[in-house]
Amino acid sequence: MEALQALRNVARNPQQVAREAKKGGKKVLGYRCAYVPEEILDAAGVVPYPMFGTPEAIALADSYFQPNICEFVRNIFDLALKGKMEFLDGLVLCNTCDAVRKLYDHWRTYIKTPFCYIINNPQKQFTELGYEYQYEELSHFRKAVEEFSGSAISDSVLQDAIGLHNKTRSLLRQVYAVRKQDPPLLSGEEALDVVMATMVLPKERANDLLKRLIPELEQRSQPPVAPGPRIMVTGSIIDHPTLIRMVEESGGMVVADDLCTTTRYFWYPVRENRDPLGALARHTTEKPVCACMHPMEARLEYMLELVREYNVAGIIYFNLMYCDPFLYEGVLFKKKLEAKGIPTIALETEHTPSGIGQLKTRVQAFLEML
Amino acid sequence: MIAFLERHGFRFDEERLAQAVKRSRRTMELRQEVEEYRKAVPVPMTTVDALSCIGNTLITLLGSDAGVEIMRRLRDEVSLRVRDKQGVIGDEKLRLYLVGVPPVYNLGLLDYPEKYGAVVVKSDLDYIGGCVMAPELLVPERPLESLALKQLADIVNPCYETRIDMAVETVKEYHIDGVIGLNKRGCRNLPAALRLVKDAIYRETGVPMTIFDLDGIDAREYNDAQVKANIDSFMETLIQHRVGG
Repeated sequence: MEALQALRNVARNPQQVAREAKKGGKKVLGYRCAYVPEEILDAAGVVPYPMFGTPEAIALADSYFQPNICEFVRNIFDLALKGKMEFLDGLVLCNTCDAVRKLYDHWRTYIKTPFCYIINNPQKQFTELGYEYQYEELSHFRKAVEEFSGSAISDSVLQDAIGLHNKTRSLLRQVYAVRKQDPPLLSGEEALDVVMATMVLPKERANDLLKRLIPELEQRSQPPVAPGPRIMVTGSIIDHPTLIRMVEESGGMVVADDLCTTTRYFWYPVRENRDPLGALARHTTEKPVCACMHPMEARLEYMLELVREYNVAGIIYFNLMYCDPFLYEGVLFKKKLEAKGIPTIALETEHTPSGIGQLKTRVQAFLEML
Repeated sequence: MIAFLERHGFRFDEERLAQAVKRSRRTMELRQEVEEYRKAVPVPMTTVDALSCIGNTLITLLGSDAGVEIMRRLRDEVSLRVRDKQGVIGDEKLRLYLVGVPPVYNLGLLDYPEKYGAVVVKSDLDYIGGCVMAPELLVPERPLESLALKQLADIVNPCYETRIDMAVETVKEYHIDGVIGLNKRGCRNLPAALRLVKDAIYRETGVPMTIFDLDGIDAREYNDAQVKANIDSFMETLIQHRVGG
């Protein structure tokens, strides 16, 4: 399992790749979230770094953000304040939740990197007006990245970047196919690592490893998890394997996941056409993967597609405290999913889950019920 | 939105909307005059009165004749108080600015600092609703564009530059001595930026700001003694600051 191990090593130390790129003279921009088109950064020769948090306790950021603000955002800002994001030349965010929008304001005021940008993507999806607005937004973003990087982004280079990223998406789908088997040939914890590593790595390198990973997994003789109910994990961002590992140690097989660090990143390919910016604008206004977006029916349908494809028996929502979009959705979707015969539990967690024992009790009770 | 409403049996009347925008603009202009009077020392009306009279009028009566009339009478009343130098309290020593949602279930709390000779002269809730400070954004000949601009001018919109600028200007123009920031646990928009507001105000004006938890809507966690202790502590600091200065 050489490729798997290589990917997992990257996931355990996600900053390393970006740091090396920085040492090699590249410009590196941190970004969040699934609606930031990495392809534009790649096309300009800028390294996109998907910012992850760490399990370490928040220290400095608590005097900037009130404690009722998303712990993930506070964690990211804390790392920046502590100088642990010093390899970043800037930040790119998009219009999702209040906490992310305020991260932009704080970063610009207190971190002061050479580049700081927020893409004001419309939250009402699947409308022509939204598409046109997003097209303009991405045009401005493209120009800003060109000025920052000093590299013009031609349509053909952007087209190539989209093709490369689509290849990554397609390979990740193939990797995920082994999770459809019973038992799955890739555990939930491993899947999280594979996608997180893919997000961090240059796409050529990621694609190479993913191509090698697929036969490795298909030839796997020993399933990585003990038999149990087929579980899908969803909710707020998870950037550390603790919670997923806890589900698998409790007897559940995590066969699918709908997370910012897993399927939301790759499930939908960019529909390539002659106008690459138009393709990206279409992609970001028709990708219904986040609870911040409307209409919710599109996102529910995407989740049901995952449930069907991976033959999911139950869904666990891990919602970060104060993450309003998913906390609201968790309550609403629990009813809707259960009405369709899919048992669902919504749990409130912290980014560094200190109360893991209590969560485990509830997860075990849920698994026993299935 | 118009298409949606028309699909449900409503008819869009642009002329009627234009008239409503015209009345809204007039209400906003009168309100702007009220705001100028509120800058006077001593302050002619309390923030509780402003929230009741102005806030309710802007929320429920904007665009109506009644809204214009209420604001006209308020302007007249406040102007007389300013002319007569009639303040809210006898000896106004300190002027406070409230950032955040005040406890709507206990607005009397805003009178509490009066025992220190302090008056809450302004609340940033006054700015919610858009174009409060720029009625000229409302142009009856372009009613839909006016409404769009009104929304964009609202301080709750995404980035904080406008809100911070408004907070700093408020401190300067209303002669503020101290700022009280309320952290509402159920809100992300404002609490996520209180430190930004605090730092900007201090940097630009030297005026201090205190921040403490107080949910203005949900009374279940309200602790009167704790909240008053927070205010007491801040008032003592302000008084010492003034004596020291």
